[in-house]
Amino acid sequence: MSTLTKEKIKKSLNRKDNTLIVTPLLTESQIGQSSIDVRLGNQFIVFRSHRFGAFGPSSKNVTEPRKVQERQIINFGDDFMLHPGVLILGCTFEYISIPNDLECQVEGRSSWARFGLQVVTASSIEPGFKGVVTLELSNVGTVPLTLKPGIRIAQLVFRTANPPIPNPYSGNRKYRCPIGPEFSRLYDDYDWKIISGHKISDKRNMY
Amino acid sequence: MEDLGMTAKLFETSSNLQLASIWLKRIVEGEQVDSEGKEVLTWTGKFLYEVDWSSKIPQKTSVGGGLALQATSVRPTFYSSLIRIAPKFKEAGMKTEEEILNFLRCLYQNLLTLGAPGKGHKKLKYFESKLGALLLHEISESILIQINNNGFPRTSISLKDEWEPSRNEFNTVIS
Amino acid sequence: MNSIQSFPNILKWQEHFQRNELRKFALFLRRLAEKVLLTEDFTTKTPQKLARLIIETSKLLETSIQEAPFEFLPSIDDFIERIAAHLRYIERARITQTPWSLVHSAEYFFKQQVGPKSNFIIRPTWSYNYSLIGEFWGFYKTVLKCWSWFPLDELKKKLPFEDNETIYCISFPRIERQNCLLHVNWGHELGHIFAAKWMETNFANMWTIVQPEIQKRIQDHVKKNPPPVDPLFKEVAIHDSVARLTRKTMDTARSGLCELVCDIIGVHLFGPSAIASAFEFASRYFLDVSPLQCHYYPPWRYRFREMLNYCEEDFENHSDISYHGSVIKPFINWLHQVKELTYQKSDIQILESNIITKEAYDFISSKSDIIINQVISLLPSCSQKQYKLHERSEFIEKLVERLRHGIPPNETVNLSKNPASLQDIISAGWIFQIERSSKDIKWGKIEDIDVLFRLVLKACESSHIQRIWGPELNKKEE
Repeated sequence: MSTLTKEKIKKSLNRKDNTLIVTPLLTESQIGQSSIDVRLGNQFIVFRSHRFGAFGPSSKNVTEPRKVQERQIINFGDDFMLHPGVLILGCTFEYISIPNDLECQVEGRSSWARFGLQVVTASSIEPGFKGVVTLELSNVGTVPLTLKPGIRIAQLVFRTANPPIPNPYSGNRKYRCPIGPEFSRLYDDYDWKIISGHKISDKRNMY
Repeated sequence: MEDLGMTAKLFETSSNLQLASIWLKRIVEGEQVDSEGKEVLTWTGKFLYEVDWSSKIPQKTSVGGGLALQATSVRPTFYSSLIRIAPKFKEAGMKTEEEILNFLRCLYQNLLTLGAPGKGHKKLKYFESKLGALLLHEISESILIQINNNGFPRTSISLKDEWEPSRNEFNTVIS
Repeated sequence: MNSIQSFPNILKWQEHFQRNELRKFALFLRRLAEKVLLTEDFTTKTPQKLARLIIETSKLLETSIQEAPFEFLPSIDDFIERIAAHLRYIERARITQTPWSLVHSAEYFFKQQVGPKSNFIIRPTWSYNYSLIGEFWGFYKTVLKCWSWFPLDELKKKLPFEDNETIYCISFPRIERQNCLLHVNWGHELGHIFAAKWMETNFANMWTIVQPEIQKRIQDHVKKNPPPVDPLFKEVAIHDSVARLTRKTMDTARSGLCELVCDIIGVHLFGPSAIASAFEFASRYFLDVSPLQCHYYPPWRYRFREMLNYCEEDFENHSDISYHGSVIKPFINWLHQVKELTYQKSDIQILESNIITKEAYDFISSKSDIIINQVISLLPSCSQKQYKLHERSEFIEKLVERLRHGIPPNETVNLSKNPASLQDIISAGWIFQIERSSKDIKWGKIEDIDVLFRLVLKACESSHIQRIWGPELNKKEE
């Protein structure tokens, strides 16, 4: 498994079949030596912390993510203020499609990290993924940060998947071709409701 | 499409008729017509000639297509207003259709000549001017209802509050 | 509140009371508009412009109502009621209520057609309909100009837009927010602006030439079927009936012509996709309803016949056009099926069965070709040429290929300098949808449709941003 260099990235972007798609790349300079810079999209998911006590798999808590979070959309050119200590979900402006012989890692940009902006993504992106990438953005610095849709916010680093995955990202996936940040779907986990106590069977109640 | 341009034109027509109604009342009280008043009175005269098929004025074909179209739009409102205030014509002693149509022709001519009688027409009497003003007011209000479609009855200035003719006055006019 | 005794008569007291109520009405309206302006986020600046117009107008009305003649109070009341209702266009244009990915590219496209001074609000409505409302600023000006006591010049100075700007609102059914393919119907709505322009300058002259003949035939009809006898009015009663029927005929002709011209503008700008979206919209309605029973709209069958005729070149088998074997073929077959529906002439029978619709549609059919050419000539030079599917087929096929792979059809290759146009993206969406559902019986589940809408919406957004920002960013880079 090796990281793709600029030349190999360009080759992957120009293949006839099994192409790597990153669209739209507004400038060619987004392709770096071993990564592609991606821009911030204009949709965000923020917490409605004034509306709930806690979130988690407990019957005392709110268990439906949409009750504790809400989608915010701003226009390109407008500001999104990220205050210290706040976590939001954003997304890339670019829509990406990863071929079955590549996997991808989302990393923050060091220039932003020096101001306290952390770009964390749950895991690497699997071969076969299609969609915009949800970014967990957090300001761990002490000054509020102004984010504008369209700024370069993160970078994608590609590695070869050896051997290629035969049926990549298929089947009943939680997220299919998203074009904005996606709400958490923890409640889709088969054991979520059982553990949270919402669907306790009679048998369990006896114990 | 909700064509606000059409609605605006009808608002304009309603306003002009209302203003002409006000001026008719002012003239009869002896007030001098200013330039704005002159404009609105002649416009109303021309417009009503175009609207009323009974006016039988040969030159009426000379109006622009826009005014003719507006006239087609307002014509049913005009006739229904006329029918609605029929009791007032009766009160004023006009017992036949011909008498009413003559009065209307006289009204249009007076509007065109800014309250003065035109060639071959008589000057409107005090109560006739008031009756003409009422008709214009009625059409103006009906147009508002036409554009609003909600048709809520409005408080209207009734003829009785404005003008209480004596039977003698009518008799004089009709004779 | 003043007591009745302090007024010379009850009418004066009533007048005082009404003036106060209207002042209060204007004040509440201003406050509400200010609140909407301050608290909501909008996709474009246009809702804010309309909000400012309402705020400044009501502010000046608050002070000038005192000067208005008493007889004008009802029309002031009407006007305030009307502009208060305009607030709903602003409220519904909140960013979260709109298919915002499409709104910017749609507004950009509309401005290209109507001119840079035009502004558009795009908002959902709960009624299942598309509509164009406008033009707002022209409406305010025409009404306020009639009121000599209203300081119109002062209002103009306070507005955040120029005197020659225009504001329109385009509505779409709320339930179809994500259905970007259906929103091709906006092409029809845009057509209303051009149709209204043509109507304003030409319809009156054209109609006044034919009206005397029509009127005569209507008069004969009324004489055969006279209205109930009025004790006083005989001539007036006949005039009243003829006037009503003539106006209805004119309204039927005018509205019918307008709708048909707008359909053609939609096809002219978007190609056969406009027929597909009109067909999806109309699929729940009867095809042969008389215009007198449905707000003067022409029967759908009549409309499809006219639309298909206009883009016949795109789907008839001419020797130089061949979609054979391409992904576009199922779409072409689908257009042929729609055409078959129009062979039946039941709509014409309905139109001919009534004197109003017969006269109106005789007028329409005799003039529509000339009128359509005249209306198209009002489009800007960049849109004079009809959008033809067969000329775009090669490019569109590549876009459809992307949709097939779950990729937005905003360009055909990575790092392209030529983002796809709104028309090409939408055409690709329609062609893909019809192709998939014709080939795969299982395709068409709600998830499939959702993904298609998402990809098309993302493509509209991406190509728009690339078109606006791309050249500037690349210039800097060079």
